[in-house]
Amino acid sequence: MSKSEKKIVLKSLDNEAFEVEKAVALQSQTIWVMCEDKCVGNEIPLENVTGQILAKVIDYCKKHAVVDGDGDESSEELKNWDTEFTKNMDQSTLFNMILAANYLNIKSLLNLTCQAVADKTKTIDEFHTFLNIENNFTPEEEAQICQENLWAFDD
Amino acid sequence: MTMILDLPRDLVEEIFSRISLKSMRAVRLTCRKWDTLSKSRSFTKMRFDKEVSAAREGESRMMVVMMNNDLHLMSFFLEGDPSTEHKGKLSCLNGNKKIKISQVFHCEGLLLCILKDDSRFVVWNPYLRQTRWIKPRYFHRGHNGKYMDRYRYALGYVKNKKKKKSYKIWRFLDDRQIENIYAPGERFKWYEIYDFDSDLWTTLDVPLHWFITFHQRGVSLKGNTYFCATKDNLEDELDDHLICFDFESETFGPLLPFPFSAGKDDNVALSCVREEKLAVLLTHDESYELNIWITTKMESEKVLWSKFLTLDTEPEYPISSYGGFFIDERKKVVMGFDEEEDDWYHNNYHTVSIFGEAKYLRKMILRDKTTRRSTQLCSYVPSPEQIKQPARGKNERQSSLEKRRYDEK
Repeated sequence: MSKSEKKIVLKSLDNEAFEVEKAVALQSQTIWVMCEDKCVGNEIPLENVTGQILAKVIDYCKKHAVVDGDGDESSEELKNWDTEFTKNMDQSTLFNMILAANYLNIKSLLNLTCQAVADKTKTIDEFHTFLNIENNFTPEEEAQICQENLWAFDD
Repeated sequence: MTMILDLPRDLVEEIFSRISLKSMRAVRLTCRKWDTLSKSRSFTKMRFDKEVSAAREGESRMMVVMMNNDLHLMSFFLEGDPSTEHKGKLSCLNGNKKIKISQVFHCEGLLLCILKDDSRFVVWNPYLRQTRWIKPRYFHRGHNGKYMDRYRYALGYVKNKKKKKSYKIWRFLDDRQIENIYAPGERFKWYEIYDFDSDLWTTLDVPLHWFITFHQRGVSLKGNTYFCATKDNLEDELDDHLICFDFESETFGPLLPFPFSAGKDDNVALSCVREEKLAVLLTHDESYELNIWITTKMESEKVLWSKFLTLDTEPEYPISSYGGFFIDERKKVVMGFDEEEDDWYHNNYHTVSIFGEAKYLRKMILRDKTTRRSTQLCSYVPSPEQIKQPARGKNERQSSLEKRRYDEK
């Protein structure tokens, strides 16, 4: 296989092009299916992902790819890297990453990003502020739900 | 800016299914849409499947632990270096009055919780956050108001033709142990059963050629409840037989022997293994040895056992048979609860001890100082089982015959 065949170009929604190793890109089931499809050349347009998000997705895939025997990082190290990776993402970026992971069909990244949102939100206040959700209950409805949830393991 | 509202429903469910049980009440109280979503069938199934696959992979075991009249949900990781994770403590939103639990009984995802004053019980599915309150018909206050918490309880079910479960609560009081304070023949025995479908209590006639000692608690397996029992004509309390209460026939099966003969300094306790088998623990007051057997065959008239573990735990005391114990068959590990006194401050702490086949040992302090010995442990498996609520307006129609039977006691 020549060098160029091992590389692949991913093009974002805003026309940013990323040249990556095929092994890195093929972690995405969506790209894998597109590559199988002979109609697509060396350049793959990704119409649902912006360049800013795609760059992050590629970072993740590079870290998790097994390329030419380089992928021998211990699982502990990878776990720490994953934690650092999502730690400082704001909620908008996290949601975009979830959408991208879902669109590109990268299961481990979807798990990671969904878990990150779940871990950042634990209390009602966090749901309201971090997730920008408005409380639209009437006092009666709220009382009703409290009544339905009298017993819980939530202390 | 992308918000959670921009995500399709299946992705929102992906996120929510990862939110810990502790925060589920908060999810429901966040907004209307989430309240609806958290109650939906697809979401419930998704959460349940996740829990079940985690349990199957043996990543962790969930336990309900009663300490100082509170309930805690904990995960135990037995792989490698054992550790625990506190997943939540029971909190009730009933005003400011704190709920105190005196007994807890687990049956396939439902918890029967007895309130400290024995006046009411709650059947609770923590996973679905459903409860049903049940009131006893009568309340025996023991001798001059003493010995009030001697009722023992069990939750079980029968399956109807459509494989649907009908739940029942069984409870009994047998004052044999405090016989010396009663006049001969005054021994108070009371067995009764509550049916979730009819919302009624019925008195049971139980022939008593055996008894169940006060510290023995029942273990639920496939809808029925098993106890360690002692033959009635003996002076000593040996707990050396197995007995099964069948919720279908509402009767006890025969006394079945354990694979050992127990003496009066021995302690015997039961546990359930993966909701499939029973395990029995034998310890001795004056020794560091513990022995565990598990069932290989269970029929109503016959139970076969095989030896699971024999351990010499010196210098640590073996697992206490009072708080309940738990085994992991594959990893050959036994875990039990106890308490330990801090030599410096004379405080008692709840502890969990883990012993393995290779005699490795770990003792973990669980939190909370203990005020008295009241730890109870039961394995917990989440279940999407709905708790049937009583039909409205048909309570208080207990028959006068039932009332008379109690009064005549």
